Amino acid sequence: MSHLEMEFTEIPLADIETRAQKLIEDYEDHVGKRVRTPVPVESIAEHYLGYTIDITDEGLFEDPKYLGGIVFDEAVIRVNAAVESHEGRYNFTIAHEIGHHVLHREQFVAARNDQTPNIMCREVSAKPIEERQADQFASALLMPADEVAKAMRQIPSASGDISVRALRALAGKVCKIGGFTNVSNTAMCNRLITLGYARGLDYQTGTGLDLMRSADARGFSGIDTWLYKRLKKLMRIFR
Amino acid sequence: MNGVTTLAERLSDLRAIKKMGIRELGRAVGVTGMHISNLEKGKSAPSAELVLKLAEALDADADELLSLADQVSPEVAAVIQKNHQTIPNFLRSAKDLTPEQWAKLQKQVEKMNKDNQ
Repeated sequence: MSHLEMEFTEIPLADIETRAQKLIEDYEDHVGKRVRTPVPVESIAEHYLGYTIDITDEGLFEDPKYLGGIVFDEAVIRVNAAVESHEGRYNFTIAHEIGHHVLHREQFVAARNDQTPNIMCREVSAKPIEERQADQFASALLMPADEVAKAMRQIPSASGDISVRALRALAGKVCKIGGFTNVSNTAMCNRLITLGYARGLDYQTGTGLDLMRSADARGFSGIDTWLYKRLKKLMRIFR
Repeated sequence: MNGVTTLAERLSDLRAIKKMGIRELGRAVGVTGMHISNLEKGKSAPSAELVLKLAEALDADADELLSLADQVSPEVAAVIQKNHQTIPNFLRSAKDLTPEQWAKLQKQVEKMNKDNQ
């Protein structure tokens, strides 16, 4: 849960990347073959780390803002049934919970007391440090830097200053060329920003706010652009 | 079966052996991953038809899964319905037979089937 009375320490991004890569290599040793994209995070969680995946809409997960959670004591990763049919969100949620296993389990288990909830949860909006770290881990696990680089090499002059629209198109191409079929366009956009392939943009949220921020940054009125987009969509519907 | 006694545990065990994802199994038998989760938690009881699909997807013994699910195969249910007086009477009179006698009976039935062909 995000309201843990526990302070997690900073972990450099490079360490998070290394630990995600190490997990992939350990899994490769376990299955005796090289892992290619899409990275099988479900299998890593269940058949390598020994977690049970529980897709549920009960209890905490009646609320769609809770996307997933990990219960270390029971070796269970819970995923909100609301994301089951969203390939990207489903896999990112599992990868995020694996991130908690790799980065936070030891500290969580050692520092727990009777008042601590037994579950660490992924919420839509709340981003304390441990949640951001688990997100970074999930990105690195699902979209290994070398695999992204390989795909980017096949798209000439793709990186640099870029608009949101161009970033989304680029992310779509990278997903297709690189075989990242289990990540969302938004997740790939953010990965491209993290890896330095796209500059001058904030991290994407997958909402219209991104477009507004981008338009603002380019001297257009964000709200005008937003309204124009909505109007265009409506015209398409009524045509 | 390594001491596994419930359908929930057996399904989870079989899925682990097959290294199948929870949604992958759901898709194979035409239900959601959440439905499979509920079955593996023992929170819902599957129909006989679903048990047969699960057995096929998991390369498992359908009769074993049907028995764990307290279900009768639709094929067996049809035989009982067709012989709704004979079979209950037969089963009542055979209830004290030993496993060896059941095996003998099975062989006898197989022989009769062969003779019929």
